[in-house]
Parts: sequence; C-alpha cells; structure tokens
Amino acid sequence: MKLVSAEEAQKTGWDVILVGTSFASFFFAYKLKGKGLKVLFVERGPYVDHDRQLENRLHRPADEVAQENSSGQRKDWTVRHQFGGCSNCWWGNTPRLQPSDFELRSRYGVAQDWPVSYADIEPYMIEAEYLMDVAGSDEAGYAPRSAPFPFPPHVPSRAERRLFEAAPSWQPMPCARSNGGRRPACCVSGTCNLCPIDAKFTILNSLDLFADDGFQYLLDAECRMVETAAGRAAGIVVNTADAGPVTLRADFVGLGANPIYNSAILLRSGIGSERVGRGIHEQLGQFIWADIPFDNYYGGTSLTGMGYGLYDGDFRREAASVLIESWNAPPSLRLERGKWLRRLKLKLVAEDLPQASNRVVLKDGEPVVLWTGHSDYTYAGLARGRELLPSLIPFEHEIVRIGGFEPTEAHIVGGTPMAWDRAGGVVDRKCRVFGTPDLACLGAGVFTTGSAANPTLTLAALSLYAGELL
Amino acid sequence: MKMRRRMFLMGAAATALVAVPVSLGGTVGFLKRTLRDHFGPDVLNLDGVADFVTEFASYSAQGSPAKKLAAEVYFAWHGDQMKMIGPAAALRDRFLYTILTRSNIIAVQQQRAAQFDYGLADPWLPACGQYLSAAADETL
Repeated sequence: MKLVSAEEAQKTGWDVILVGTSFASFFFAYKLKGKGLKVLFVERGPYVDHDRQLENRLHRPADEVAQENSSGQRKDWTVRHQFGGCSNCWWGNTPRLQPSDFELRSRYGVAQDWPVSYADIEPYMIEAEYLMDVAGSDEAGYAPRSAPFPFPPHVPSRAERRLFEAAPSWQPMPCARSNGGRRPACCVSGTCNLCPIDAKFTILNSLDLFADDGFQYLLDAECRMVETAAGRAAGIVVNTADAGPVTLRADFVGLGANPIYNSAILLRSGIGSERVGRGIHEQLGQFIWADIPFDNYYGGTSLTGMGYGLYDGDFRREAASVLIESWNAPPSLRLERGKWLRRLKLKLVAEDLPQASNRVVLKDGEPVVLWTGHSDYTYAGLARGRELLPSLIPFEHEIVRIGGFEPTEAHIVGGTPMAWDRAGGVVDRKCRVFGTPDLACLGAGVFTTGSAANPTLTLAALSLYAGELL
Repeated sequence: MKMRRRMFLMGAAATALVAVPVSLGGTVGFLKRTLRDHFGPDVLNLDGVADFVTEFASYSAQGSPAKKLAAEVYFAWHGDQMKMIGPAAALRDRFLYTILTRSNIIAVQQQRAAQFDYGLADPWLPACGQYLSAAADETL
C-alpha cells in the first residue's frame, strides 16, 4: 500500500483521482488495474486495521451528518470516515436489485426508469460476487443469472427450511460473509458490523485484489471540490490537517465518497444540474417478531433467509416493494422456559422514492440533509407487508410484536441520479456528470431509484461497469 | 466519650451492613436466583454453572467501583425482590440471553447434552455463535 503525502501528491499529475475508499471507488479502480495508470485514492479518514477496530469498537464516536429533520421521526444517516468506508461496517448482504427495479416508470408508472438495465449490469454483478466470494443458492432463481454463485449458501435456520420448502419466494440470503473462499468461514457471531474473525468482505481484508503498482493513497485528506477547466475536470482541492487546502491535478476524477458528500462536493464546485443533492433517500425497515411452535435458529450466518413475496407486482403502482429479511443471529429469544428458540425474527424493508424535498444543501460550505420524511408510497408498502405477511408464513405462528420504524437502513441512495439527459438527472449512463465528461459519480448516489434490496452488490457492479468504460 | 463510642459502633454497624453481604457475593447470588427461577433449582448443581455465573458477574458494572458496590449491596439485601429496578432487570435479561446463547444450556435442558459447556461469558465481547449456529451438533 503506497501512501503519499499531500505535498507529494501535489507534484504529480494523476491520470485518475478517486475520492473515497469504499466499494464505489475500489470496484471502479479494479477495472483500471494493469493499464499503467497513476491512480490516487483520496480518503478523508485514517487507516485503522481490523485489530484496532476491534479494540476500539466500544469507543469509536459515530460520524455525524448534519440534518434538519422535519419528518417527525428520528432519522439517522450512516457514514464512515475511515479507509474502506462503509465496507468496514456493512453487514455483508448481497441481494441484487431486480430487473423491475430498473424500470419502475415503464412497468408501474412510478418515478423514473434507469438509463441502464438489469441485463446491462448483470455480468458485472457476477464479477462483483466473485470478487467478494459471495455465498448464495443457484436453485433460488428469481432474477436471471449468467453464472452460478461462487460459493454455496449458508445453512438455513430451522424455520427457513420450512419456508424454503413451502414457497419459492423464500430463498437463502446471498452474502459476502464467507462460506468458502479467501476469508475464514462465518462463525455466526451476529455482530457483522465488525466481524470478530474478519469473515465478511471488506476493502481492508481484500486489498490485494485491488493492488496495482500505479495505485497510491492519500489519507486524512477531505476532498472539498472539483476543479474544472474548459468544461473538463482538472483535479480536486483537498483539505488536510497538515498542509491546509491543496490542489491535486488529474485527467479524470471519480467521486466515490457517498451520496451526501458526493452531492456536497458537486454543490461546492458549482458542477451539475439543479438536481444535485435532490431526492436523497433510503429504505425504511420494520422488525416483526412471531412466536412459533418449534425451535428456530441453528443457521450458518446472521441473516440466512429472505422473502420476495412482497417484492414485485402491479401493487407497485401504489405501494412500495418490500424485501423480507429472516434473521438467524443475533437470535431473538423467548425468555420462557423451554420455549427459548420458538421465535421467528423478520424484518420488512421497503423501498423509497426520490422526493425533491429531501435533499442535500450547503450551509457555511458544509452539507446539511433537509429531511422531510419517507414517501407515502413507502409507508403504503410497509402497511401492505404487515397485512400480508401472515399469509406468507406457511406454519402456525403468532405475531407478538411489531417494531417501530427503524431510523436507518444505512443504505443512502440518490442525490446524483443517473438519467438519459441532464433534465432527468446528474450523471449519464456511464456515471459521468452531464457537461463534465471527465468527472464521474460512483456509488448508490447515482441510483435513479432505490430498491428494497440492499444496494451494495449492485453499486459495486455499477462501479465495475463504469470503470470498464473509462 | 460516650458519643465517640456510639459513633464508632454506628460506623462499624454500617460497614458490616455493606461489607458482609458484599463479601457473600450479592450479584452472584442474584444471578443464581435468576437461573434457579428460570431453569429450576437443579441447574445450580451442574458442573461449570457456578464458574459461568462468577465470570459473568465479574463483568457487570465494569469501570465503576461505586456502581459495582451499590449493585452488590442492592442484590445482597435482595433489593430486586422488593423492587426490581431497571438496571437490575436489564442485567437479568442480559445474563439469561448470554447463558442461552453462549453455553449449551438449552441442549442440556432438552437432554441432548449431559455436560454443561460454555464459551465467552463477557457479554461485551463479540463471540462466535457456536451453540445456536449450524456448527452446533444439534442441527437437524
């Protein structure tokens, strides 16, 4: 890992600068390997290895995002200022966005279609799954796949065995929590935000996959803005603790910070359309606990199952898609003697739609999220899910508790959406900013619409796709 | 002189009021009562259960000697039976959750295992979920 100081970085003319060091930047960079390019990764946080993360896990302060929340409900935004970004703290679930997720307008008259299709991205989804050693089931066909999963699915929980047998909409949750491959096998700690044995794919534990002689890293340096000349990206300005503002020159800039900070960088730079920062959103989740007449759990990882029974159909004209998660660890226990394991822990996760009122703005040069709340569409999806869920569980059960709306799913989407033209979004189908072709936005910020599925696998695939087009 | 003697006796009584029950292990006693109430009295006769209880108790109220002392006195005088305060209920639930997930006590209770066995008792440290995971022999 070649670290470089701000002064040294300033003296070099970089072929590519990538802002941020999580999935978005690294999967883009994967396609630049072996091309003899000088690539600089710029990370605002420090490098903290896995052992030190474990030592400090109880004392690490959360990275706060400023917001003005008028929704009437608590809202949290998960960001990570650290080398590897959110790859350090994600849980490792890798369901794909489904074909319908790319075509909400044409199929259901809602929101906007993506300018790329599932078929365009699918080969890169396979590639991302192989880079992450994803474990999943080839038998559980829902969306078409062009290759099998690299590794078989984890052992399902006892309840899931019955669910999988009863209906094909219940399937193993694909994940990057190892079930074979380069990392130790998942040991079901149920603390996947920081795996004690490093079984989950992270940028840190997979750096060798992304290594290239031309790649260098500048840490503790925050990208403030992109500099342009004659309508082309010319470099970035970074703030460092030691050297103050420094200008770094590059022929191409990729912003892979996250949807909030990518938006802020564009807003500071005066680049992009009036759409920049608008429509930021994320899924809304709700836990449901049911008592069941048999012992559950004994599965092979934390989230072992998922249900597509509420995912897609004509109802999406009016109500959001919902993915059902089935949790194995940490288990929810019944503290009744002899009935400890007779519990089913599910979570409904609903997609949201971009709304112009939810947006990132700058105040005193810093990003502030103006949050007015999730859409009615989302709440309608969850209401539909709560109503129909009992019909999807093929064994006796009693729903004993429905949790409140979760303050975050840690899946921020939007702000720099992809569209066919400048009127519809901020970036084109290659993830390049309209009007500034040497500047790309990477990550879930470019999703035209969100999804009920976890975004990471798809955003990694999108970065591979965009990187190949460079 | 009388006054000084009275004060000395009162101080000694107060010290005894705190020290005696603490020396008897207030938190350990509470955890054992919790186990007995939940699993029945025989659970306390299992080899290894006492060690698990002692180890778990050593992790409660870590980093705050004052809280630790207050908890010991509260539990030693069976304060939980007079009024179960929030932190005591939380400790009870955390203890039950920890022993249920980090030992084979469910297998023992279901007579699928004869010997009690446990892993990491510190609830603040992440641990592999061997007893309720696919790695457990109990898997169907």
